Amino acid sequence: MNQTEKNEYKLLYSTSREFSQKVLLPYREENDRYPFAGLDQTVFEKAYSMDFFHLWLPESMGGLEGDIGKLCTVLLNIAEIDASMAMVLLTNAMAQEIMIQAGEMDRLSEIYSRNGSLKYALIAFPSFLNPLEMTPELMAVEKENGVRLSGLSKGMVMGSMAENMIVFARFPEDPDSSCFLIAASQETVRIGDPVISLGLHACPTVDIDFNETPGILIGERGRASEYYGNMYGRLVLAGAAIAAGIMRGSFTDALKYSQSRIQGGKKIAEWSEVQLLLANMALKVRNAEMLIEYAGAKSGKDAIHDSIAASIPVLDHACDVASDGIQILGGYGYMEDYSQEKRYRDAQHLQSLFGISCLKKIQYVKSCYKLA
Amino acid sequence: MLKKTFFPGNADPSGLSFPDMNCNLMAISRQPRAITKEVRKAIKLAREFNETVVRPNALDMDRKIHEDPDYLPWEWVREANRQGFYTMWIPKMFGGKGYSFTSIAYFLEEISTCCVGMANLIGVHYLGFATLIAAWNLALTRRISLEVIKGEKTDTPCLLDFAITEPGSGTDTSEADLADKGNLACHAARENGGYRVNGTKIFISNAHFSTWHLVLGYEDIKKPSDTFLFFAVRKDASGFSLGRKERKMGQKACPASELILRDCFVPDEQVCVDQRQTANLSTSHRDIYQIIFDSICSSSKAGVCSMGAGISRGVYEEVLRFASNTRINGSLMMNLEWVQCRLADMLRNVAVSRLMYAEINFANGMFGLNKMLQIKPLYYLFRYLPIKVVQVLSAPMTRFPVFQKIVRKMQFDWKKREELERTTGWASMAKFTGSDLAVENCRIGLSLMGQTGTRHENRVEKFFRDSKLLQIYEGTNQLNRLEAFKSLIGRNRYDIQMFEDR
Ligand SMILES: Cc1cc2nc3c(=O)[nH]c(=O)nc-3n(C[C@H](O)[C@H](O)[C@H](O)COP(=O)(O)OP(=O)(O)OC[C@H]3O[C@@H](n4cnc5c(N)ncnc54)[C@H](O)[C@@H]3O)c2cc1C
Repeated sequence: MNQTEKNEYKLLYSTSREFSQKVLLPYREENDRYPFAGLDQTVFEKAYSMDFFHLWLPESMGGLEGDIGKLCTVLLNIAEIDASMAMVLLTNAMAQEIMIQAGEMDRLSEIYSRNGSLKYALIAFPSFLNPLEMTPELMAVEKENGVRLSGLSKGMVMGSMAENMIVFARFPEDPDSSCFLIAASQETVRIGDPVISLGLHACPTVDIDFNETPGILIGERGRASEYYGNMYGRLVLAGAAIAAGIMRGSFTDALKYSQSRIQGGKKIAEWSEVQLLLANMALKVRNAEMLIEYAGAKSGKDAIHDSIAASIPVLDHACDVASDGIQILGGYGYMEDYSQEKRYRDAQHLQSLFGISCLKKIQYVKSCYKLA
Repeated sequence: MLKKTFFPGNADPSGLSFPDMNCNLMAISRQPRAITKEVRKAIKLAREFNETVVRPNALDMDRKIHEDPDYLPWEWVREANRQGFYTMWIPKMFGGKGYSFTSIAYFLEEISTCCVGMANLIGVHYLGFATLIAAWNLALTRRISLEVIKGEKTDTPCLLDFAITEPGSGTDTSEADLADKGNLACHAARENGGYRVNGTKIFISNAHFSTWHLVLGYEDIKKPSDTFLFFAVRKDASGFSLGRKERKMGQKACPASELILRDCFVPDEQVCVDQRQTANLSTSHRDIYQIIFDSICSSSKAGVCSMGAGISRGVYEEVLRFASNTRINGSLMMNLEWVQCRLADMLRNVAVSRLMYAEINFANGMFGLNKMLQIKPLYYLFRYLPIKVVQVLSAPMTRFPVFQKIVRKMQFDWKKREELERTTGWASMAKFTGSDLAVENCRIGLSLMGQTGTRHENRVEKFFRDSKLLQIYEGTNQLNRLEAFKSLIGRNRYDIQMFEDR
């Protein structure tokens, strides 16, 4: 890494940390109540003004040219405070990457060159649905005046806030699905109520119903799985960075608490069973950081396999760490006033990023070792 | 000191005796067979209640409390009261329906398959009741039981809760060794005719619904286990108030709240047990502290384990449904080996949890809190005689102090140490097994269902949030492991020190 790059990293590191502490933290608890309370837009606007939604874009569009290491740095710092915002940013990057994979640079550039506003910078995407696993419910039909989409696209992250969205839909005659870009502000787009979910509450998700909605085919017909697979390989590590952020936050709070809470006449951090819990957490946090750093620095085909190999265990470990993070705080850890319970939900929710956890594992071994 | 009648000669090389590891076999011929019928009846009642009240409303209730964290689900408490669930496990001698405590675990498992918060709304009441029973204060138990029964008849629920945790003392409270080093603050100053109490209790389940709070206090906060007292405070007592209702991650239907006692006077008639009441016993007050705690927890931890079994089963059933209706790349999930094996794991977890609470039930029936009422002749007498007759027959027991003294002598002075350790050890193991497996099943479930599992309407995410609490209350699972060690592994080894980590 040359000096300029180092400086860039440093700058990203410090701005993302500052954003987390100064902007995200004050709104974290309140925004986690969504959809049972309003979602304060300040954090989104601020993230937008800091160009966080552009991170993954090519340099010509104001981005970092798809630098996974840098993206991971930002997401990890943000997720340490609030994984929801990190997930919002990652969703955007996933949608952008699908367009990049499909060779739709012009369209992408068009989106980002428009009169700038948050709404236009966001691209909704079903981040937790993997078209390689499940056939989308949404159907596409070729009409004289273009493609029309009908049916339900479930779990559209940012679907209630974004002007553009990428969906998967299938032409009845095709074996594989295709990707489409849709403008949200059309009469035939019916945005459902916010989905009530386990975690990542401030990363609003909706089901969207389409009724003969015009959609723009992204890339080529029937190649959604391929684009998705490539996007997955490029961005899977960013999901792990979010998990690592959750872990780091959980560990930091647990450590701090264990050094102040007294039971049995001493700080709980002095009980060896608590020390073991802390040790397991610390090891997993550090392992995650190292794995992300290692895989993030790789390039080529290895990079994809290593990114997947690094990410899957990190997503699992985040669930363990967040659980221990509650445990160390005892009853207090179970309360919404402390952030541990939120991390516990977020970590478990995040495990389904890019699809069903066990299937991702099976898919990994199949693709690495050419199993049938 | 507790009587030590256990000799390593009876034991296998690890120091465990045949009854230690085979409570079930010990119980085969000695426990009344009719308990099985009671269990079936309890399960049937729970299923009916689930179908009409819990399952159709569990998600809405959870959502409602998400939306308004101060909402109190009185409608559920009233319905449970109407169904008679708050008197069902009160012994007939106190006017209740007299179901054996064994059946409550099965009942709670069933309710927990739909909503463990609802199970707690019933279970915690019996935790309060177990405190009365474990302190063996028959007159007070009768008085409070009669109010619960009246509450059932008049459609005004009269619930009990159990309040030991304080802001500065959670884990410390339930172990005398830890309590004595701890930072306990609920002070009860002796006054003419009673105690003047000052202190705060936190995280008290059902507090907002309870008429009677069973509270733990100390005459000398520097010597808590030597000077402890349990007392009952009525919700309308002067100097008593409810503080904040916690905002919990899960089990939202069951509120957990703060109790505030400020110069609250507790008359002697409401003291379940204190130093004065145990002065004539040969067992020290400190040992009685541990006996009472262990007896209460041996009973209530069976309940936590059964709630864990309920959650494990609830998730398992949801995943089964999902796998039967979902296709992965064209194949029905149910037909994929990795799914089949995970479902087998999940079912195993349900079964193991159930076996664990069955074993602690056997232990409690043979050696613990339920022992007396499960002695066959007494059991059948109480079972087949009408409540009124049982009450008349047992009235002298609750009226004349001499009976109270005899019962306490039996329960505290003649209590065999190994029996207490057996029930405590099994209860702790059941508690951490049932709760750990419940969390595990939720995690397996979520890892199988992907984003579908994370959606509220599919129930599994609620189970996941709810299950974590089982690892925390009734002593964290860390403490329960230590208690299992102390009671079953380290008990006869004089080189063992507990809570002396350096
Ligand atoms: C929703 C809810 C409902 C509850 N309901 C009730 C109720 O009805 N009545 C009631 O009285 N209480 C109730 N509780 C309190 C509950 O029993 C306590 O939360 C529990 O005992 C843990 O205590 P704590 O929260 O103070 O944690 P702490 O005791 O502070 O423990 C913090 C961490 O330190 C560890 N630790 C502490 N001491 C040791 C040690 N010696 N060795 C090793 N590790 C140690 C613990 O395992 C834990 O991981 C409830 C709690 C909750 C969250």
